[in-house]
Amino acid sequence: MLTLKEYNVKLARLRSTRKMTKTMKMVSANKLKKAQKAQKDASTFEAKLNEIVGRLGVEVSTQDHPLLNPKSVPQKALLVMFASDKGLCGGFNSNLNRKAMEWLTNNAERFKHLEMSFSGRRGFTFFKNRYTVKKHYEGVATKPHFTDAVNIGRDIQAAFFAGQFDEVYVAYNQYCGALSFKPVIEKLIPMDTSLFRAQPNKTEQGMWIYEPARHELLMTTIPRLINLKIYSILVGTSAGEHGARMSAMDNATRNADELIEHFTLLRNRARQSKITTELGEIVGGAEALK
Amino acid sequence: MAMSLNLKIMTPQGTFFEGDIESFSAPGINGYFGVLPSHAPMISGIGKGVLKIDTEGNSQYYVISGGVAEIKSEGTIILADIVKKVEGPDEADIELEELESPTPTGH
Repeated sequence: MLTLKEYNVKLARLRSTRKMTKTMKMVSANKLKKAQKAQKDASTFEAKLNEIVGRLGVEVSTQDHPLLNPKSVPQKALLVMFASDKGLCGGFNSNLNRKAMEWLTNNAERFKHLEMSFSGRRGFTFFKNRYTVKKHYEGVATKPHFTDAVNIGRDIQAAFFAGQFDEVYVAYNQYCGALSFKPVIEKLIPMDTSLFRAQPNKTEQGMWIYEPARHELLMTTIPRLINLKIYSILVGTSAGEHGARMSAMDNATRNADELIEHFTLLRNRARQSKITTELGEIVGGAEALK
Repeated sequence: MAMSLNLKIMTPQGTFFEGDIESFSAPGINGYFGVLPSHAPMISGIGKGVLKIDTEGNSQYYVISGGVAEIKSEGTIILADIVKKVEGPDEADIELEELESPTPTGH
């Protein structure tokens, strides 16, 4: 059993930890609100663009654009990881790292050559000594800007066109509401042509003027769709990170509360027993003086 | 009052402009085009260039890059990757030179 003083020191420490986790929770809640807005703006834009693309009603074949064109035996792959820069957000990064590790192990046979690019330090530090790093985009994950997505998209597409990679994959936490996320790995390039499936009931072709013609219009949109996808991953990751940190800090605050309650009880008991002992001594001393 | 045209400019980072205007001219992929109220429904690609918006006796200039415009009788929506407000046509030219094309075509 600890002494009264030791309990007091422990309690003071717990209280300051609690203050910290509580503040971090509130800061995250605030950042989450901003990140959620960015995420929502991006998905509104994406939905509108997809609506227009769908309405073009163009049947797309894999030969139409180099970004749609799959290699018969893909051998070189790039995996782009989107993690967060900071930790203290529960399983947000570790689940993603584990998922990516699993994927890399399973696909090691299929791809003779594997490289990785990163946004977010937590993914980078985990993998940097295990795989070839193509590029680490620093300072993007915390506050993603559309031009960051364009930069990443341009690098990836340039490497793809230069024949450095046959396929490009992305690993990220899919944002599904404020406090939930799911680590996923998807193929980014070559793009899946089913994304452009025509919606015949929505095309009012007779009425519309298309400039340039529908097919060319779609082809100019394809590289932009990739950049947009990257941007929506970036903002989703940032929103997910803040959400995850908020709930992790909420848990930590609650744990601290429990511990404080527990140790306050023990401290009071120690104090009481100290008083009892002192009283006993005084009474004993007075008896002895008689 | 003259007929007006509702224009909304959206970027991935949010709605950039929304309002009733008289006309606008925008950089299409194969050259500039102008739009007045009651334009026929059209979907047009947007290249890199200067977007000019005219409201009663007053012109606003924007530098715009990469996107698509949907023109309907109810209103026009421009979905653009990058939009930036500039003071006038001269400044627009300077900005345009700085702006790198964000979408490599790969052809």
